[in-house]
Amino acid sequence: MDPTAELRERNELLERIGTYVDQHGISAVTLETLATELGISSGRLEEFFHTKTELIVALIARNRIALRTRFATLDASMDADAFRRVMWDFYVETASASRLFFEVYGLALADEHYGEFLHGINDWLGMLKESLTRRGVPGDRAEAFATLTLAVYRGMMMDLLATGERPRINAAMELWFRAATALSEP
Amino acid sequence: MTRPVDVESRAALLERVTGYVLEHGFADLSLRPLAVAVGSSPRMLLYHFGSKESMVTVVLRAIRERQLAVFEQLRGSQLPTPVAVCKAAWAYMTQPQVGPMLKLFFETYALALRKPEAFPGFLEGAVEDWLAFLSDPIGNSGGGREEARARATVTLAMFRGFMLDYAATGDHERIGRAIDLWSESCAQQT
Repeated sequence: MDPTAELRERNELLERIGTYVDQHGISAVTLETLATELGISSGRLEEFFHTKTELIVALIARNRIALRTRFATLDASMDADAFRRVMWDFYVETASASRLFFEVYGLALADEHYGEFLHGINDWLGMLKESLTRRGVPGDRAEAFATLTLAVYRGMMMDLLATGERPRINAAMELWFRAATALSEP
Repeated sequence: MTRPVDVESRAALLERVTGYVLEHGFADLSLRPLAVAVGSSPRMLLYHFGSKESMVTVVLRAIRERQLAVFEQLRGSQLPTPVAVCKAAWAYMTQPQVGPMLKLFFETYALALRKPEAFPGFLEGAVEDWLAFLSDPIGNSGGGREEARARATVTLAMFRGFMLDYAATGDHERIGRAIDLWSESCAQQT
């Protein structure tokens, strides 16, 4: 089969799988039920994803690429405060990606098959660190700052997904933006 | 006439069931292996807890009570600032024996986001218990209730994010530096 067509089919499948998983959660998914749902044979599905783990890795990678793409396209001259706000808006817009992240995280803590995911969990800590340095956060504390920033966003998303209490969380984010700006000043 | 449930043996059984859940999680919990592990039978488990679903509720309540007891303890030690609270909580949470509880917490959180009805009260408690705890010392430093809750929300988010990071990476040093940075920020505000 033509490799381009193959890749296109894989991406289309992944898109539909993403929608399905978003509605039903990752725990309940098996390759068999998924194949039925997608209207293809299990054999065909397994040609693309040999195991459920592989499928999850592909879904996470897809979300990660979306995040990276979003940040790669940001104007480099954007100041740190605006950057933090854009980043938060992106997290909120892609809340279902966060939910998948927390679900896979839960699986990974319970099951060593997903260990690779846990090791990769902070792979964008480096990207964030670099981005913050470029926007004026002093280099020697950029790693701690990135760790802090990531913790706030993830924690806020856990809260938002559980409670949906936007006014309280928005007020909290405003406090965070202010604190982060104060921390960035030399 | 029905026999009264033996309170003492139920408490002891709950203790063992909770221990088992802390080790294995809720995701694939089934009565038979659980019964074997705790030296009971599915029939006895059902006798004491009614159903698997209500057993989950009881276990969650037991774990929540343990958590609230820790809050009481921390509160008793008169921590003056959010930073002190955060540092005390960090020291507590990174003890090796707390590890299983932490894992179970994140696992259950993810399951509950998907199916809240299977874990009654869990998500509410996971946020509200902490906000109540965290906004207490912070609220004393002035500002209204909304302000105190917003501050507590930041502290909670940060703390959860740190624990999420820690459970995955175990990078005590890097996260410790981030907590120090946050302390600096809090010191600036006062």
